[in-house]
Amino acid sequence: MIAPREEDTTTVPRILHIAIIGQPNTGKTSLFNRLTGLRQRVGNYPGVTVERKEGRTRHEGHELVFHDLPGTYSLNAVSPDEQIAVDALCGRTGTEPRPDIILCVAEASQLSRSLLPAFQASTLGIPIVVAANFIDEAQAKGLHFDFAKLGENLGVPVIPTVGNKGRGIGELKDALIQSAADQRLLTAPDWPESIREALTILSTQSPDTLRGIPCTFTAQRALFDTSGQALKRLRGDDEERREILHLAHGRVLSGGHHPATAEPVLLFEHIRKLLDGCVEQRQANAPSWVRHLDAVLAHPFWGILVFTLVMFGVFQAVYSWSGPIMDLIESGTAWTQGFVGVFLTHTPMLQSLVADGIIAGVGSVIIFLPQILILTLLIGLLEDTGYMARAAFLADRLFSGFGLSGKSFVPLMSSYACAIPGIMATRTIEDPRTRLTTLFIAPLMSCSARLPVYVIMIGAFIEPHYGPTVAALTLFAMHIIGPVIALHIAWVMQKFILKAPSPPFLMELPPYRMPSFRDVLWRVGQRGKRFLTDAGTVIFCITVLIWALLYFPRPAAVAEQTRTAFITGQAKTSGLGTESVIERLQDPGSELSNDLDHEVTSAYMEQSFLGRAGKAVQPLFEPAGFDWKITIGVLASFPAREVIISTLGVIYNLGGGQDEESTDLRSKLKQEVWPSGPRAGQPVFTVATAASIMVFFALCMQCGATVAIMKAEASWKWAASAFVLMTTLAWLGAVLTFQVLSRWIPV
Amino acid sequence: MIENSSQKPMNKLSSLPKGQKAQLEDIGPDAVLAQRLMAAGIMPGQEVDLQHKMPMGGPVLCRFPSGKLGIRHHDAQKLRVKRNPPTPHAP
Repeated sequence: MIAPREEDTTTVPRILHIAIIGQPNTGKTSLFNRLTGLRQRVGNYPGVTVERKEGRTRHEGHELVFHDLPGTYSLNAVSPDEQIAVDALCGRTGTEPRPDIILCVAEASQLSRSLLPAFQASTLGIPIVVAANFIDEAQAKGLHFDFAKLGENLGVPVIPTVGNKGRGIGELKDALIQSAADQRLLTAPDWPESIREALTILSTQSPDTLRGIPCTFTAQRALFDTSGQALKRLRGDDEERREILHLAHGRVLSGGHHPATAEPVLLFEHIRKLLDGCVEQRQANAPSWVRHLDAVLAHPFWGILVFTLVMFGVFQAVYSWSGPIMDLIESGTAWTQGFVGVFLTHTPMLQSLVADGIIAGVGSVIIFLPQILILTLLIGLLEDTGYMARAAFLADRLFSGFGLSGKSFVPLMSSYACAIPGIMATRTIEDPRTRLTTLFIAPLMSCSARLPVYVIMIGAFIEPHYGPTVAALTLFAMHIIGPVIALHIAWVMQKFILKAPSPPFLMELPPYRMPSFRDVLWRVGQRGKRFLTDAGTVIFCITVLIWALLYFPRPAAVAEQTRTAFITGQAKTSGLGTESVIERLQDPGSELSNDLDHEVTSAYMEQSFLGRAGKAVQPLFEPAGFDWKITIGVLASFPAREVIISTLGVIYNLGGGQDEESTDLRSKLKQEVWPSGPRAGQPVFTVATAASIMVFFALCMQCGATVAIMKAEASWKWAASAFVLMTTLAWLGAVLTFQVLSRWIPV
Repeated sequence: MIENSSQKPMNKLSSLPKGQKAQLEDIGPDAVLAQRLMAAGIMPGQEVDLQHKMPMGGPVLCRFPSGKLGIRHHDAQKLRVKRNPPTPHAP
């Protein structure tokens, strides 16, 4: 290996910015992780949902700043993430400077094709270093490399690496610093006369030279880019540009080349000549059974069967492994609330703020971590074996009709457990259009927090009337209504809203590989950290805000009035005197004082800002069959839908400790009648009301955490649109359900 | 639209029987698709065969010298192949 010589690197700037480019599946990201260690910052490029990753490391007295650009097969940018890669190389993103060095990660066994983006970038005049990654795999296939000759022919250093095992990292860093001193460029192709002429024509219109981007680069991109994006960088108006491109294309055609394919054809020919004699095929020693895996795993029948089993296993694991941890977090939160509450009994407001606001807020954030971490771990492992590419291939037909792709399957499926890890899993979708659509519709999948609502409504109103078969069908319908609507929303979005050009969808099936547990754990840690910092703060704030709306204004008169009314009522029904009722209330453990406590809590909720709001907007929910009590429950569930059961418990004077199996709550719901209005005296809860409530919960985005994660992964605009759309859908769905069913089924 | 009758029709990649080896003749009128394929190392003249075809107009799984690629049905229809190619001479 070439070691950096002291005298050569003294002129090299102390801080070096290195852009990492490479085709997908070349192991670019795991190499980036090994190069930078834990000193990473992950974010989005401004205005687009494309992940931006930056990492730093110190080597031989230099600070190396790595920028992991989106993977691209070629610099002919079609999709927004590919455009970002080109812009970043030119220093046009506004978030990072123009790179000092370009590191091209190539797959050693596919060296010629993975060098294409490097050769396209070489006209930028930035020194390039090539990492021949997965060298172990190439050697197992029987390929032998002469790296000295390779470096000589290509003009730049070629370093063998195994990113996921951390091999060749030191040598790569040495080579990067050395190349900043040497400024070595790739051996340029000798373009035929016709192409040279065409490039000269376009060069005259290139304005970028002033900003340090050679006009040859701009001209080359404008000439060969079929999507027309690069052409916009030339001077002149659309008409002039089109004219000059037409002229240039004429020259290309006159030389017997086609403008769309001339660049890859000529560059590959050039690369093949350079590689000649550097790579030799000898006896392979890779296990042959791996090559036959796809006969089963990508098979239309057996493949789907295995896929179903694998996915079932994954979600079963997410569900069952996270369950006990979530219970632990819940009881931990409850214990902390009780423990801290003891010290604050003299200041009830502070006690409630700390216990029900702050501690509950922290609890509501970390409760999501187990599912996020387990799902990320399992999907990450499957992804690094290459299996997820097969899964995307198998699932593609199901989604392509709606403008999505096979890669949407895992995020949508995992949203059935919880939309938060589901939305985070959309990061595996490279195409930003598909990614945005998928994360937008993910909250419509019926997550596990909706289940308690279905259980109590079906258990109390459907099953007793119609038996277990209809009950099961209803439960199934509730799980299917969301995705059916979601896929149609996706179709409309792709058709009418996100009309940006989408590249033809090629699903590359990389070779099967042994995943690196360390690499995957790394990603899991990053996800968890990002969730806590980005979404966690918002979830926390929403929880505290809703606490305040349910707590204040809390006038003391409410408690007094409730107490007086309670005593009078009790005295009348029991036939005892008011005195003896008061006497019995002295015992804080008695059933009577418990009942009073529940009535006071209920009265406070009714009198709170949120309670008043619920009463005020109730007319809006009247067509859906909701009375003011249900409306308060619905409003209070906007930050987290799972609180509906305990909120209903409080409103119906049963206290907050109710769950979906509670028989008290069920019988209370059945007894509830309309106090006034057109339906006075009739029961509030009928089959129609129960169905309308379930439909509302199935379609509504009653989850502050989902809003927060959408904001973090996309933008406020996306989060707000999804919220408004889903709330509208939920209302429409509930009204429609109630109006239809209440005519058919009056009870 | 009148078909050019002098042009001999070639087979679509999408209608190639499973396992039948063929030679990629034309990567089609869609310039963006052509560029994509070429950037993935796929060139006219290469040998190709279909390992799997997903039912109901699903994607096809193609084996190229540069690796495996899933191509959607409507894209695979744009690619022309020639069956039973003569043994290609070594480049």
